[in-house]
Amino acid sequence: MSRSGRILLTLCCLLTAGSSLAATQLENLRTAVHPDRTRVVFDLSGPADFRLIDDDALSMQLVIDDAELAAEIRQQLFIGTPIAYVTTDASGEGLRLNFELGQRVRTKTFALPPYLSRGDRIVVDFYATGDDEPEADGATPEFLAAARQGNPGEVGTIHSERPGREPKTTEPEPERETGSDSTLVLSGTWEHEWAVETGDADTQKFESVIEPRLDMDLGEDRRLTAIARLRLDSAGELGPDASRPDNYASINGPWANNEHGSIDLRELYLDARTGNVLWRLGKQQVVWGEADGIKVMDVVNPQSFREFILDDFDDSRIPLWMVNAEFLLGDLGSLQLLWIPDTTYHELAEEGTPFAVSSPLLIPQAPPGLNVEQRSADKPDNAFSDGDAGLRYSAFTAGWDITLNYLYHFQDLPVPYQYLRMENGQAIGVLAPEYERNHLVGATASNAFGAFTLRGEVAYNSDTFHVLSEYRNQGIGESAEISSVLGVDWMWEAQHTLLSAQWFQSHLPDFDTAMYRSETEHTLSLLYQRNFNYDTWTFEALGLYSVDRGDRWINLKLSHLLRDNLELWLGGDIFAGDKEGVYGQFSSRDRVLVGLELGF
Amino acid sequence: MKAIHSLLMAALLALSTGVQSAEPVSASEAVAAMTAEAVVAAVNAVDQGSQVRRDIRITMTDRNGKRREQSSVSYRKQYPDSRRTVMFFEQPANIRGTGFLIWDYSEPQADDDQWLYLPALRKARRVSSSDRGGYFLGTDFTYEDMKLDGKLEPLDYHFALLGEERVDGATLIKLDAQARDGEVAKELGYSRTVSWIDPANWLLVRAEFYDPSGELLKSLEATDVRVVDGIWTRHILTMQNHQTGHRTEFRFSDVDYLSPVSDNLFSKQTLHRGP
Repeated sequence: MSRSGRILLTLCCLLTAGSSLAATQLENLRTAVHPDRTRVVFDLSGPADFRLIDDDALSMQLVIDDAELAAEIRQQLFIGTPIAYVTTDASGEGLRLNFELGQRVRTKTFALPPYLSRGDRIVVDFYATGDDEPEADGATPEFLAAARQGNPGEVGTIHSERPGREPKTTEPEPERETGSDSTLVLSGTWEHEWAVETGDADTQKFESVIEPRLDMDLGEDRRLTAIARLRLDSAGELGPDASRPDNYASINGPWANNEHGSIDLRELYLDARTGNVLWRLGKQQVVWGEADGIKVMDVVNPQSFREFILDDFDDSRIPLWMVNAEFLLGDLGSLQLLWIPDTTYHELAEEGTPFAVSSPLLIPQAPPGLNVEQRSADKPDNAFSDGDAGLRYSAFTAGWDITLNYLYHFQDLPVPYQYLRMENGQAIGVLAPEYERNHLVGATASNAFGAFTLRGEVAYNSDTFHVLSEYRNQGIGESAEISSVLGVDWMWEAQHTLLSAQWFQSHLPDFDTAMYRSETEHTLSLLYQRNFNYDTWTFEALGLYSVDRGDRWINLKLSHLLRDNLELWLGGDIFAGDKEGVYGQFSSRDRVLVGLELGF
Repeated sequence: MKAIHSLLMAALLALSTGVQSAEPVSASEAVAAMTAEAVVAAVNAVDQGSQVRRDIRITMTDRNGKRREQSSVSYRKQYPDSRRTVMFFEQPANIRGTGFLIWDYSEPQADDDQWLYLPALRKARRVSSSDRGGYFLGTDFTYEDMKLDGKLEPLDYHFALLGEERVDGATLIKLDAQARDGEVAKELGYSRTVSWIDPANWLLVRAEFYDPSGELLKSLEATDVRVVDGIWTRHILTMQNHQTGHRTEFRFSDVDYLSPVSDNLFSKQTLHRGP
């Protein structure tokens, strides 16, 4: 077996310390043909000593000590490679792989330690060569010297490479066996918008939002994500001015805030997997439901209404600290459990800012001449007794995506209880908001039928509270609520155009005729979206229309992807209709805006 | 090895299509004796692996030379009733986290199930899959181009051989495909395609696509063809739209047909969280 031309390479694996008494398994064998070489990778169950023996010009052996073959080697792997076929036998020293070659080659061999999803590996690169050309370029001189001399001491040349990296070669496109992937990725976005009210040409905002993001791969299916947010607004019209808005729990909220800027930890969570359970632990957003624009089921996280609903939900949703465990069940099924100790609720626009709520549907209206004392909301603050908990079962059956949802939570808007007190013989109206519990039980479904996608949600809320137009029951009527949304999306013109229509309805089974709202209310939405010029231009028109009051909001937006990471847009928001309506209350807040987003 | 493999495949296909000979035949003779249907069968018999993981860099260039680049990682796995593919976009930052999941059913009449995860919405949306001629995420490849991945669909076309042609030193089989009817042409966006097949490995290495009015619409070049894990693999696909001047290049790297691909990758939950 031994010849004068024998090359003996004994390469100690980089992680021998972890060797166990059990035989190492050769689990897998992979090949890849490159213009200048053929790479064969041996995936092992653990570290192992090995050596490559060059019997003669057209055969060689790889001996892996204390190893055995876990699966049959498919000869098909070697099609198009210099290897004609491979046989194996178990020798006293371990596993021997015999390579019969179809042409003369020279080799380069090295070990790689576990990295990301890969385990221990032995890599053999085969370079084509001729009799008169024993040393083509591609290997380091040190490596070739070691190979020529068959001196194990020269192996140190290979080990002098940083652990996890192969010796440098000249190939233009190395395969990912080098362990060179970064485990830490820094990225982010910078968004800037300038919004001007059309009525008085006042600047509503001139705002930059910078969101740096860190993704860190911790190995073994664990990953850490952190997103911070810095907001700078030279206009400062939208507020909030409070250094710490009182909707936040002590564990949430901005680190610093005023009407011109804020800085906060937007999200921070750890993704992990144990068996069939996906964990996401930390500050995060959880989105339920199928609807766009109006929320029926998307109520796990509260929202900032600083800009009413004009901001993207992804930006206005307030992330919460929570435990999110998702048990995988079959192909597309799962059971999600949520425990939310974070008692943070909706952030309403501050009094005096453009989007401060004034509709009697939401805010009690004091009789003329009555002084009103506004008290802070009685906010739950015990992480255990006041926390929220949720459950969602998801399934995919007969083409339908279905979820069943349950959430035990505090409603994110405080109930504006009112009463009168006397002071110095004068009546004073007291507004004393309190947060109330609710059980939400619901279901969602979606399916595609040809060019159409059907989406639906239905929810039962056990306890909802509504402002009365007369003073009794502290000015509040209570009822359960059944709400639903049915949506249809239609894509055509080679999927360049989307038309999406939704019908929302809300019904109060225990309706009180003194309630400001109607027993059953309906809202319609229509979205037209057209992409053109290879999706570099997009035009969107979205309208929401309250059927009962006739008030409405129309949003128009034209955006252009100028570069890979740079998007520009021009848009506008138009409110119209009954000033007591949810949309009509902002009819003096029509605006135009320009914006950009740069990714980095 | 390559020649032996080609010869065996050609001979087998020739025999299977009723061509008989008492004398040994060369590879070129065997190929010459093949029918269009046999060539289509050979192309569709090319092993694509029961699973694959690959990195994809998509470069889009418009008529003015302006380039956009996206990078993603893709996994595909064959199941008894379907082929499932998932793509996770990694760059640039404004599309990072976008995921696209397709369950492509073996049953020809069954529409694919598709989900698109948009980070801005934080939810995986069900999307329609009926528009086979729709362009895939702003590229020059249609959903059908992506789905076929170099295969040929006999249900959509009538095929005919156009002979052999020398291209870059290789003799390729030229195959004509006419859409079966106007409805198919309208649905796919192609009335006709012409494909160049390399009989050495039965890969489609070049193609031309004609629009429903018969005008040349696009051409495809497949380059950097090499064997990975025993499977012939096209590493660069370049689609040129001659009517708009737009071009899309898919460059595949770190192709791996053997490492285990988890079933959990092809779920909405993973679409949300990433691979």
